[in-house]
Amino acid sequence: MVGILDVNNIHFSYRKGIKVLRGVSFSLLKGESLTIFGPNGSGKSTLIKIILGFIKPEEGNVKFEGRDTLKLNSRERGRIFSYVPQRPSLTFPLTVFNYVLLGRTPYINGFVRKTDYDKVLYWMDRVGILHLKERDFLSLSEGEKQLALLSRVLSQETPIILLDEPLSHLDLRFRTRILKILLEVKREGKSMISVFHHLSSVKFLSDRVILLKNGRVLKKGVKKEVITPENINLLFDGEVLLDLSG
Amino acid sequence: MKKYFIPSLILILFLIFILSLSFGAVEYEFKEIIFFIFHPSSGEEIILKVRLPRVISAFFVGASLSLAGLLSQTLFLNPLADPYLFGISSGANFFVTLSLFLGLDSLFAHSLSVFSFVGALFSTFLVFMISRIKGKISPLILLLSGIALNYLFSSFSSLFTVWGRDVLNKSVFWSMTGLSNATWLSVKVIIPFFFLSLIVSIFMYLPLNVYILGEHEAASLGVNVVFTRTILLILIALLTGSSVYVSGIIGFIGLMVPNILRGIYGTDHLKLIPLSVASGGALLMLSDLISRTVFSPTEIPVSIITSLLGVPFFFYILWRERPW
Repeated sequence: MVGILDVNNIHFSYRKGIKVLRGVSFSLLKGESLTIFGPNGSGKSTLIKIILGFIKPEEGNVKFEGRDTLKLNSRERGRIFSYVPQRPSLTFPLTVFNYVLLGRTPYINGFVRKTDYDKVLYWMDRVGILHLKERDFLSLSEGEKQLALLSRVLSQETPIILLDEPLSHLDLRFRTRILKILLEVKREGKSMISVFHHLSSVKFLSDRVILLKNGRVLKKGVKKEVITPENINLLFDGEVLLDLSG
Repeated sequence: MKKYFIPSLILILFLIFILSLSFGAVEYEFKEIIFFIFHPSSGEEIILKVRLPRVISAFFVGASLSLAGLLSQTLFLNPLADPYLFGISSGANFFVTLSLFLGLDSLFAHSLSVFSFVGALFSTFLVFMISRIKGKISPLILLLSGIALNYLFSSFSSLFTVWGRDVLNKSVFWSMTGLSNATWLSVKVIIPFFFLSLIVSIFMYLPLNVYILGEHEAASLGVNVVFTRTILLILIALLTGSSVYVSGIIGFIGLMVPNILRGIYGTDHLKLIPLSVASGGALLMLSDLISRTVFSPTEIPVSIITSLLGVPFFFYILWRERPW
């Protein structure tokens, strides 16, 4: 597999003196799913925000196919990374179709083309929400909203998808449904960086795992080698009893 | 509803325009007005010099306030946002009063309009900074903060009005008269501000559509959030500042119109922008017509009419959104 993203020596602090990230580095391969796992406050979400370009690191850089993404404009970045937050935030009425259509924004020059509409319909169909297209987004259930968000992100057709705890508020049915779709697109060549709270999601979707503790990489490697009772104990200071069998 | 809305709106606009020209201290018949429209040089002094500039000003002030309301709701991600409720209009009003107090009104031509804009910009920025207080502020707290700022600026305006007798005459007169002082000069002042803001906002319909997802999601979709936000702040200030300069403080147009339209058309700024402009213009022309005919020959400030319409609507939106 080919490396497409290099995250090099990222340092960041929100206020002077309190370091959130202390020299985090890793690389991502094409078609690979990488999970960042760690306790609350370990810097996972901050790292995702830095990769997306929402905040600037104090030190270090992020390179997509050798290009420094922090130097690209937002539109160019919108064609490389797409982002699934914990929950979609929308307070105004919008049909599900128009909501998913927003995923095409980085490609629209002036007006929406037929190919944009086709892609939206294609992804809504694949995610299984085509029947909801005329519904108001605000009237959907939490799970349906997350599926609409996923359709929007997939319509964005970026090589890398970043997911920040996208399943934590969903029931098992929607969680499984979303994980299956993500696994499918991963097999089709999409790369992913994710933050999950449930080890079951990590086990299902991830190829490699990075354990992050106090802003530093504790361990990184293939999931079988990293997700071990010893490492998890180390990560949570021995406060988690774990049964990883099965 | 969608199907009939635009043709009905055009018809209503035309009707209100004709009615506004015919009713007043001197009344004209329908056919006289139609004749005048096709022969404007026929020279009906009252229509040409008094009524026409007033009706046109009412349209552009209503259109500006409505568009400012729409853009504020987008900027603050809050359907309750409105230039009046959020203290933006009273900020503009305060700066005008202050500049009258300091004798800056004759500094250069239309200098008051510039101070009105600066005041609107200052107060929009202030509300925006409050909305950015760490830990994401709730829409209700933001609304209350706006209302508090509204009171603060109004109190300051009153204070300076009391301090200077000359100011008292000019500024009370100025902020209470609403549209009754509108002349062709008012039209000349508001038109460039309005069209500039309209054109820029139409060009920005796509980032505005995405902006409603919140800054992080909007940024991930390739929108330059800082740029969009800055433009929104400036446009809201331009529209509110020029409206306050022409007609003093008129409330609730910016709350009512965009919320009704969003209910019909969803949140697509490409449709919402022109429709808000046309509907806001129509609503203020109608309110102005009512304000000068209902107790004829006495004229009441148009802001009374817009408040009578707007306050029940405000409670409806508050109940619908339940931001607590």
